[in-house]
Amino acid sequence: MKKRLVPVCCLAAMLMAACSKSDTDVNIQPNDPAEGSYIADGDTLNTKGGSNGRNIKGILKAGSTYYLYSDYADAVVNTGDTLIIQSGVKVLFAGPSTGPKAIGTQGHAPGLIVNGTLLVLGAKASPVLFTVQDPALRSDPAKDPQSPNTDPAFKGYWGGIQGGVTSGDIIIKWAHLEYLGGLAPATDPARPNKARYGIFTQNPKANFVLEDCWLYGSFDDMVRVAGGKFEILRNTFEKVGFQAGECVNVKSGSVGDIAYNLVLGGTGNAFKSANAGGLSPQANANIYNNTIVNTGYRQAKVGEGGSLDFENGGSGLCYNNLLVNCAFGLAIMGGGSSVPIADTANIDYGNTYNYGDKTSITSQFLPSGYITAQQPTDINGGNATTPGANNPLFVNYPLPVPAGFDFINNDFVGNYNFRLQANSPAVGKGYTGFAAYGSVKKDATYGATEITPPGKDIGAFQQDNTGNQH
Amino acid sequence: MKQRYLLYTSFLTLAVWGTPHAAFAQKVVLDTVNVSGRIDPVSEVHGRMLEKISVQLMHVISRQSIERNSDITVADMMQRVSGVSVLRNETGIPGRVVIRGMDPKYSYTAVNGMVIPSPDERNRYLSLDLFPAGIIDHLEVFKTLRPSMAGDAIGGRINIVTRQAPEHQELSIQTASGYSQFYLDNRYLAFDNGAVQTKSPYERYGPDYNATGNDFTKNNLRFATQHVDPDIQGNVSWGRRLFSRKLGVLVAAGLQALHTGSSGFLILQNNEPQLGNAPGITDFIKRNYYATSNRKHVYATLDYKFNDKHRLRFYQLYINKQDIETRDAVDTSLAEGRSGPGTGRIAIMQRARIARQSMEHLHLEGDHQLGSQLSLDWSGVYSVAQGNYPDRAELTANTGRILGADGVIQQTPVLLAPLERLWMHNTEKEGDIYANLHYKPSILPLLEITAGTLLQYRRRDNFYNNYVFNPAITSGNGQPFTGIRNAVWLNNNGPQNPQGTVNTAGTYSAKEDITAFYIQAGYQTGRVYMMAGLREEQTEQRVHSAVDPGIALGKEIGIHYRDWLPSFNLRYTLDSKQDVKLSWYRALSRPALYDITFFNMNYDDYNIAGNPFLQRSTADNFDLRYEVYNPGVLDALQLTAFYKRIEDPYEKTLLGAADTLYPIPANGLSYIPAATLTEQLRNYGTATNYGFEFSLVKQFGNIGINANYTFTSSHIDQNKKYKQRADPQDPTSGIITVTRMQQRPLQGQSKHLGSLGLSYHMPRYGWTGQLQGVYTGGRIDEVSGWYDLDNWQKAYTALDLSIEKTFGKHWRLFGKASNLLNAGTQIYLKGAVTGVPEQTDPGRLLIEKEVHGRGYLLGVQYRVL
Repeated sequence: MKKRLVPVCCLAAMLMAACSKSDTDVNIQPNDPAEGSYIADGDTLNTKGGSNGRNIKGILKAGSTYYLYSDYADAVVNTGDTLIIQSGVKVLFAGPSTGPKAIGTQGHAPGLIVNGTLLVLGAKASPVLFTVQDPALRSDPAKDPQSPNTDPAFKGYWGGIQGGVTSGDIIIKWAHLEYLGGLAPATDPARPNKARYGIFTQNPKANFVLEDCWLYGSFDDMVRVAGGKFEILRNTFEKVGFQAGECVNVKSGSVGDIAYNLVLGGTGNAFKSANAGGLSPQANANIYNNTIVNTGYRQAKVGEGGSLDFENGGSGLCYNNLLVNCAFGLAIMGGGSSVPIADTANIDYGNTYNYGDKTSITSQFLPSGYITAQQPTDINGGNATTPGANNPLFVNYPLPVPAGFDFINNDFVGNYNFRLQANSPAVGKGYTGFAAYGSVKKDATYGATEITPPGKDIGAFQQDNTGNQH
Repeated sequence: MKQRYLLYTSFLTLAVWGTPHAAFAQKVVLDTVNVSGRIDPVSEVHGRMLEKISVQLMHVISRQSIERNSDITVADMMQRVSGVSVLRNETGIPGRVVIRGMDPKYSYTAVNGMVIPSPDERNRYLSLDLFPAGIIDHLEVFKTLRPSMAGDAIGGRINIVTRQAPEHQELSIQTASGYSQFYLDNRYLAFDNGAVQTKSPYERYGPDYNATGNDFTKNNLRFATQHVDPDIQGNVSWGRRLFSRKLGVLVAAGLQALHTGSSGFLILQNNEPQLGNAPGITDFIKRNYYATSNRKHVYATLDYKFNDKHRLRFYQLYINKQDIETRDAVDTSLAEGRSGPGTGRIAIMQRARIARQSMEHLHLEGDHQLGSQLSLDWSGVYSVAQGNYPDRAELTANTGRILGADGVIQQTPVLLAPLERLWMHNTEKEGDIYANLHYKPSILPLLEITAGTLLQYRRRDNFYNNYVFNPAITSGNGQPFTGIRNAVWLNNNGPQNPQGTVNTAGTYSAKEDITAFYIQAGYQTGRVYMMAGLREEQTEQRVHSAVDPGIALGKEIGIHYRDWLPSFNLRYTLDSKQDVKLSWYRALSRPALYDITFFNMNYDDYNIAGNPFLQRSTADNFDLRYEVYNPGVLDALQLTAFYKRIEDPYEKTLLGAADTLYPIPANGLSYIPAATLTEQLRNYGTATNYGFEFSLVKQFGNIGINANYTFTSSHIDQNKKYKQRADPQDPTSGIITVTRMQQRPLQGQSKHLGSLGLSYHMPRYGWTGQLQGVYTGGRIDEVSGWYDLDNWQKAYTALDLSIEKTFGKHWRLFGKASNLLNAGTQIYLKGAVTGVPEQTDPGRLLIEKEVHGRGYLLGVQYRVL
């Protein structure tokens, strides 16, 4: 018995001292991006010698024309590289205008992927232009107001400017960015074949400046700041969002000013602050002196999404905003512990000028279900305003709106002039007792040109000609 | 000595033939009687015999028990095993099992000793509800392994042993019909499942084809209520031995149509909680499920006995299951436009889904006696599992009820919302070879050495295709909803991506090869029987995805590792009735192929991503059991204690923006950061799991009791995310997300499990009644990446009553009423929140509730023996 037990015990001992766990070998096919190449005059940015997509860097020379060809993939600025677009440059989206592979169809809407630094340095006299080459594909202003179903503004001819996680500064001044919201490629890991955001930033440590630009037409969000120190100043937003989408959607990791912007006919909120995404610092938007007209009508979801919104831990300031005929007014989510409330302890607001031509509008100046309270500094505060009361008196915009006025397709600036007449109730009612955040340094090339402080008049246009310059 | 031996043999014979009382009254001297032949292994007694003889810890569910309980699928019967609880789907049908508190991914299913691939891409092994009960001879649940068994069973190994050709001709025809209480109270919401196109336009016309509206059917998105037919079940089987009993044949076929449903609600939380991880509640969804499950199976087995030394067996099994499910839901937002009950943004949704799964399994095996000391047995298996999920779509309309300034609640127009239509299918092919050589050296006749190999080759192809439709604006803010027929979509009334979305990480082909070798030795000495051995498994996985390498990562993924799995089993016989068993084994658990791809699903600001760098888990498992068997009187008692130490368990984890998503250099960094909140499976240090199982079977004359109770306790420390202010004392400091460690039990582990069954058997009149109650204690239903926000399932008790009556020799009538206590599913979060509807438990937030009602079944069986 004993004799037989010994070998068994040896076996047992051997087994007990069994090998430790072996490592797992994991082999992933490497993915090194190609080197960035410099751009020659008249180059197509997203192909070189027929390549599907291209990595670029360098300078797009003043006054020259370059192309994005719809049959090829995105143009990419690698991490560490810089692309400078000088004033007067035209970037045209070329490709078949009709047929199954037309510009804007699936897989034919290339964009600019920015993993490095992008400087778009337009000037007032010679802005940079990003638009579609074929005039027949453009939205004809003579046809406005036109049905959104057929309005080319929502066609998404190109993929916009997509900042990556490692991007450097993205500085865009005096540029026309049109027809945004092209479908991302199927291989896009995040949003395959879904409409891209017009301008997307993802690096909380980088600067994002959008000054004096015209943003015309996007299918979903026009600007989504999911990380970045931003200054979004003195821009004009038109035709933003087909049935969903905000003009500027500020998420976690983003801190900055949104001021002196003119918004016409967005489908959802003009500006929203929500701390989603888990980045630091917390979403913090200083929204002041904006003029927002006719927003919130094309969307199918009711209850909010009209003009300004704070929710889900978003914070910031909200002063001196002029909201004209917006489906819903300033919405601050709170009340009760169950819903994802805004960071109400860190939100201050006031001096909101509401105007509505219908009871359905005036009864939602303080949207139902939100905790926005009427401030004594508000004009037409509360939900009991008579429609048409306190006309802000724009230089050229019909208020009260004429009979049969359709809010959905009156989403264009056209010949309107939203400056205030001298006797406008908005004059002199602005609150100036706070400062801009100034998240980005002041610099004509590498920073914000001018961080306009809060204005004396409510809205984007000031009597002393500071503010929006369009 | 001889007499005693004879006595035991006689006892055994009589016991096995099922007479509950010993026929022995006086000592009789008999000549040597050889009792030979194969006993029809149907009874509970045989089941207990198998458990006793086995050196490993196992449970057996016998055919008799299956028939008595009128089980329909294997999943139904699993809940009666000690230490096992079942996971039910949304209409209450049990599918996967949790063995000893270990999630289903830690256990595997084999049929006649060979593993079966799964048609479901998220799970490596078959869901047990695919298995019809009619072809099962008995079910074995192994809680410890021996080296000859495949090693990925940290929880346990379920082996389905299918029926073999009977000794005498046997014919059985069975039909049953039933109804669910849910459909006595509700009508069934149906869509035209015949209209569903199996192939998407991409598959029909190629990658360059631009699909238009005409390429998509509409009738499968038109929903109407209707009366539902009763459930039907039918089985036929026939078997006999031919050619002087050398060739045995058994064929069986069956079909089943089952209708189930449930109603309840779901409370949606925001992807991120609020400060202090208070849940952010966004929606209240009232929803109903209507499901039809159609199953078919064909089974055939042949066995040929060349002589006493050589035998060949062949099995063929084909299973086909079609699940048709409608879900209708009304989603009221509690955040948008909500100024009180009865107000808020509303989404009306109707979802149509079909899941078709099939499996074809061919198995050839042979037993050969090569001399007095050497024997060989081998198996060759080929399986094909297919899953097809065509045209999954949810038709949605948006509206709202908003409180106006005049105090009146207005309903806004009902507008059409975007529609997504999804096609998925996968095929998994597996070929296995299994061979074992047994050697009994002449010097040590009580020693048996076995060595063998298992070669598994698995190939998987996965296809994913998605179309998105955007509604045109036709009036007012959008498009008034009139149903799918007259819906107008942008882009020529077609999808915005007319070529479909195919080239994502969801479309891939994968290969997995597992090569295993083992050696084991079993030795009997006096009262002790020992078995020890070592198994080596080498795993190689390759994934080839359709993703374009220019844009995203990982067109090719290759993973390779090797594991050494020793095991040791000991049985100490105290006397003829009592045993003590001791066991230690090492096992592993491999992630599913889906989990190791680079898939990425994006929700607003929240991603779910795959992880090719996921390590497999390994575990050391210790068991000690004391058992008593009293054959002839049908008593059995088992007391078991177990302890498991699991290394590198992998669990769902939440990553913050700066956390490493993949350790692959890119864009100038040495890793790829998550960039936004991302959910991913990740490995953790060590988890422990220990518990105690008690199981008892006792017969008192006509009354039988089976009872079991299991106590399980497991621990894992996991990193979770927590939301707080940067300086908790300062309300103006920014909100940040930090990491906190949380200790919790493993997902699916209930602290207490119990089952009690009472049976009453009147053999003279042919009546048998069985009342079975199963208690499943509270457990984590789903792990959350956020601290203290795990979803818990409330404890519930399922009570079933089965009755059968035999008429004469051939007829049997049976009936079953299941879920008598109307146990449903309730999922909750710990910690109450105010302002949320339908809350009944203080201190808890009920986030999901489903009630599926009772089920009734009545059937008749004709059997010729």
